[in-house]
Amino acid sequence: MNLDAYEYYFNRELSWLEFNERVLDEAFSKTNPLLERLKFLSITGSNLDEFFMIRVAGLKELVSVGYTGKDAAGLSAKEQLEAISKKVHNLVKKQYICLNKLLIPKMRKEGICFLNKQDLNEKQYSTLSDYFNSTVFPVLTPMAIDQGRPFPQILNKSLNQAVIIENEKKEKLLAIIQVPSVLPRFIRIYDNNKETSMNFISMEKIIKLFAKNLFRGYKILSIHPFRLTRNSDLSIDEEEASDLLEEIEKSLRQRERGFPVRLEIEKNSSSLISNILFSMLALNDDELYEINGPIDLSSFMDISTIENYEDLKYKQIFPQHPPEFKAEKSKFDVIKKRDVLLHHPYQSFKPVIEFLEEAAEDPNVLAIKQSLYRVSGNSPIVRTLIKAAENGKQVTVLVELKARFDEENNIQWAKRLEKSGCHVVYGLVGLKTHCKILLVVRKELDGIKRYVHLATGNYNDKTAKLYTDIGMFTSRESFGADSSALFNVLTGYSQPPEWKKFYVAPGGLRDAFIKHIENEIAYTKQNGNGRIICKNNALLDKEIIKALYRASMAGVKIDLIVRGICALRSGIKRLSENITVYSVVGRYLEHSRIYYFENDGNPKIFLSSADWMPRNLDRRVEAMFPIEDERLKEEIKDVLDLIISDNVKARIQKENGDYCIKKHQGKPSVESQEALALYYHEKNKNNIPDKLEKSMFHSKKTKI
Amino acid sequence: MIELAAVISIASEGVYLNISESKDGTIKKIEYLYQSLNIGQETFNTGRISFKKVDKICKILDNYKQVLKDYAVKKVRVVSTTALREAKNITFILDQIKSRTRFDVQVLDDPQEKSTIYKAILLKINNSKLKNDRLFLGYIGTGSLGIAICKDRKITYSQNVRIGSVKLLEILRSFQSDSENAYRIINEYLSSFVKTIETIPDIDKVEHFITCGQEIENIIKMSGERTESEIQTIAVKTITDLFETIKTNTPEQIGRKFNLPDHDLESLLPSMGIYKMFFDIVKVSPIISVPVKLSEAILLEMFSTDDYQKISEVFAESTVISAKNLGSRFLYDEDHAIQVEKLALILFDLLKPKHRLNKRYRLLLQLAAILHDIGKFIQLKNHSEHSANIIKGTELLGLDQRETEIVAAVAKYHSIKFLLSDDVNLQRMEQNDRLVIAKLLAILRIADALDRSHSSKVKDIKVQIKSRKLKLKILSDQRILLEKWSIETKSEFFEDVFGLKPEITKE
Repeated sequence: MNLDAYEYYFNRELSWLEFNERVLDEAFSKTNPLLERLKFLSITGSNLDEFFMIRVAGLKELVSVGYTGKDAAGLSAKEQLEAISKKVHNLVKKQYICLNKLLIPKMRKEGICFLNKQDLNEKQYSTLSDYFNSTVFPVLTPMAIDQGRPFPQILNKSLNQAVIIENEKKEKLLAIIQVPSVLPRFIRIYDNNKETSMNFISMEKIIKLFAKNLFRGYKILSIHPFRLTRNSDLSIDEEEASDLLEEIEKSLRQRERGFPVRLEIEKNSSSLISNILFSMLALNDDELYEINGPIDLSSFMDISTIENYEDLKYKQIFPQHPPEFKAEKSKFDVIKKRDVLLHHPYQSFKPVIEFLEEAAEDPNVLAIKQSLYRVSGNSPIVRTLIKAAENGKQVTVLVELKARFDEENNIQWAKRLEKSGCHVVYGLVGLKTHCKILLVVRKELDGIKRYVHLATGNYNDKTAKLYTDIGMFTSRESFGADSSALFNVLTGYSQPPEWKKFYVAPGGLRDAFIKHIENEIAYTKQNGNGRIICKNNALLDKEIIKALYRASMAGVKIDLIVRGICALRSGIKRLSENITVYSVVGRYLEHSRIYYFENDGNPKIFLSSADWMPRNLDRRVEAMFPIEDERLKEEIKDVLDLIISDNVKARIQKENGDYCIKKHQGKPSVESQEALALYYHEKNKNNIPDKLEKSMFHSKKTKI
Repeated sequence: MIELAAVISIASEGVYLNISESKDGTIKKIEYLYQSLNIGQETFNTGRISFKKVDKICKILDNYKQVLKDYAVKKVRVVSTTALREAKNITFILDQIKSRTRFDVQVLDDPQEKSTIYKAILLKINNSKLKNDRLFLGYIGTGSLGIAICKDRKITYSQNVRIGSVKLLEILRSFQSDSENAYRIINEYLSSFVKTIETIPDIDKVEHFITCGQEIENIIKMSGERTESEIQTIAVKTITDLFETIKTNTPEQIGRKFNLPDHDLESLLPSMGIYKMFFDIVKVSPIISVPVKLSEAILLEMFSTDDYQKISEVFAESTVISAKNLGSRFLYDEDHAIQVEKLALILFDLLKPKHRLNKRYRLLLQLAAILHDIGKFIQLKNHSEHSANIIKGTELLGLDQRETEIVAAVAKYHSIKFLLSDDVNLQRMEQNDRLVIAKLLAILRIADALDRSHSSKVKDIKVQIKSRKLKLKILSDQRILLEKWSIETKSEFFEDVFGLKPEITKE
């Protein structure tokens, strides 16, 4: 059997678009509160932006250099672009149906209105006029285009107004006004009569209303907003860069000016506008997207989070404080005795910060080392590290400057950390440091003791409230030794050692996965009990997919809970019949990575920062670590059980690559994220971290 | 007590940092860093180390300094072996490293390296049944091969052969040969050493073959026979079979096949060649691998646990054995040597409050006593000078260069008038060492005088110190006139050193 056959693989980009459709489904879903639906819609928008800036741009580059190679599914770059365009055009149509037909009318019913010119009363009009003159006008720079004045640089993702004007000689001219990004996209118009409602008007509409003030002596024939998306993948020659930080700063400035990949323009714009823009920007027909409504859905994020209207949002769930950490007790004492798992956002991220704070103040702590990939603005993590350095601790921080779209942010606080005396390292040439690890070295009465926190997600207190991630505290010696060694590799101080417990990419993680998959094949042949459960965000690596196909053919039962891209095709006769692919899209972004191998009844469970993508396994420093504490293993098993039994937010991949919600088949509904919130609530309440009442979820669980 | 210490080892293939913790006699490795850097290649090819390489060494040392800071390690030793030792510009190199990193690099000489390793091996097997058997110790150093025979924890024979894996590799490189021929060259080159090893006394009675080092650990790893235990064993046939399958492979192929890090690969084939040569001579299987590396061995020395001190004491006996072996090779008067050794040690112990020298100097005195007359093998005239030259030209197990110089000096002056200022070599020595030599010499001369007739008349002596006099009461059943006279002629020097005039009476 040729496991490389094209028909056994889904194309990466189309699979990703499939995922974005699932997010869009949530915007359509009546079971979600209205403003959350708006948020999902806005996320599909920002997701698409990034997709164009990186993925589509990459494919375009391949086409432009004449690359004709095919992907695993047998598509050339050109074919992929065509398929993407087709699919995205459909997706966009759906997005605006959702917005125009469903969400906007529903919001209006709730008193959240988006006004047009004709909706404005006189008072509102004059308020807006004042606002325009005092605030908007000073930051506008209209630019007319003719022989003497070249086409202006249109910045990536900036919203612009294309204006056709006509002078007294009836000569037509195109002018462009950038909608100022320093001002909010939607302006609230206060109305004394109806304080209960919220009225918004978009910035581009305000500009359109008063555009005549900008072109005195001209007649405005038409005015339409458009937006350009550009290639934003940084290309940095790390080998040649003498100062990585400087090099990245430089290339960030260039990001604004990458080649164009998408033009969004208001539907029914004058063809003159699109013709000029097209010829100026050298775009293809299928890169044009006519938008039936406000361009750039991501700007609705602000609306979705407006204050009050709590009944239009999710009921708040408070992250639980893990019962292992009693309030006044030293975290070191707790971790010394046992490993502790933290499952965010069901459990609070606070203990991680508190642990770091305790370390920063503890006189016995000698050194703190941490890897940082994405942190929140004004991050308490960064603040605490600075404090620790000021307290005389040896603080080593591994800052990943190349974390996409966080580069600028990261440069800022990397400089701050350095100033405070932290030892800041930017990682290895050619590799992104993606592993999440925190190490505290403490001098205790009985010698040097190392405390480690390892996680599947970033040290980011903000996203820890929205992303599902798992972190583990441990003081196991082998984990401490591996963590130290990992930092020595990351700082470039040492070659990789032989790992005691960790598997580290590059250089061994993929092999470890394949070895564990093959183990299950062997056990299946022997005892018929092979079992694999994987939960991650993407499955793209061909080597691993092939190993999984082999496992399925051997009879290993495989559940893959893959949130996003999945190039593996499940349920194909004689190839992947034993594989089920799930994708959970819910209120929290599924982000944890769990790998479960039955191992003949003695399960091996790993957590990792790595997905099953070539980039994770080859071009990033990733770590995978085992869970060894039996209680914690049980906890993870419970978690996997619950997710697999989800029949509300879990979709199952069909043979053709579509995803559909699992059929209830008479079972009560289980929404895993809700159920997990309850699970951790109970755990905290009972103060017992052990088995929970299974009946709580009214579901008969699949036995792992 | 808990103690932290660190060793940075500048080796031929790279620089290591080992931070360990000693707690109640057990030693735990806390950090182990390795940065590959080909230092040996340069030293062996050009005889020098370039300043570019020094830059790299200093960069690594600076990095390691940060890690040392993380643990607030105070006790740090930076050592090096062949890689720096054989560089002609070593003085400048060490000075550069010192001025840039503030590290004092201690360059171990070959015997020092070997004895440090042997001691560590003996410590590791101290709790196993092996320790009383006859062992063959084979240590593939980077610069030379250490070979020793050991019985009841005592080393009865030791020899350093000037081939090491890195050296071998350099020879191979200069041939620019492909892998197939490389194997043949190794084989032929090594066969020239077989004769030397074959004639080692008792080599045919060896019960176990013990070795250590990264190479054997890699070989065991490759064979897939590694177990969890500290001490590993591997059948000779497994190694030779493995050698057959990889001898025609390039290091890259081996690395891919066995998943070994690059920096371990190059020395693999040469080392396997060396092992294969050993197997032709020492016919025992399986061979035993003890986890000892130089940095760890030095840490043991730094922590100097009770167990280690005991091993060191036993090891001192091995040193004495090696001195006696040397004596027999030069047909020394064994009875006289043993009598002088005995008397000198009695005097040393009794005079402890006066000389205030430690055990190590007691050993040096013992060695000088055993070897003081071996120069007679060459010629009676100036024999003490010949003794000194023989001592200096031999590697006494467990002595470093300075200690060897001291033993040689004591032997040299045992029969001639001692004039510190006359001897150029002595002028070069530290003030303190000259004082040590004088003290040891003073004792040796009295001991030698007490056996002037070379007939072991003195059975025992008692010593009393009274009003600036060293009263020696001799227990003997023979007349001791000659000895009395001899003491008188040599008492002046003793008086100069200790302020005591020796007087001899018979009980």
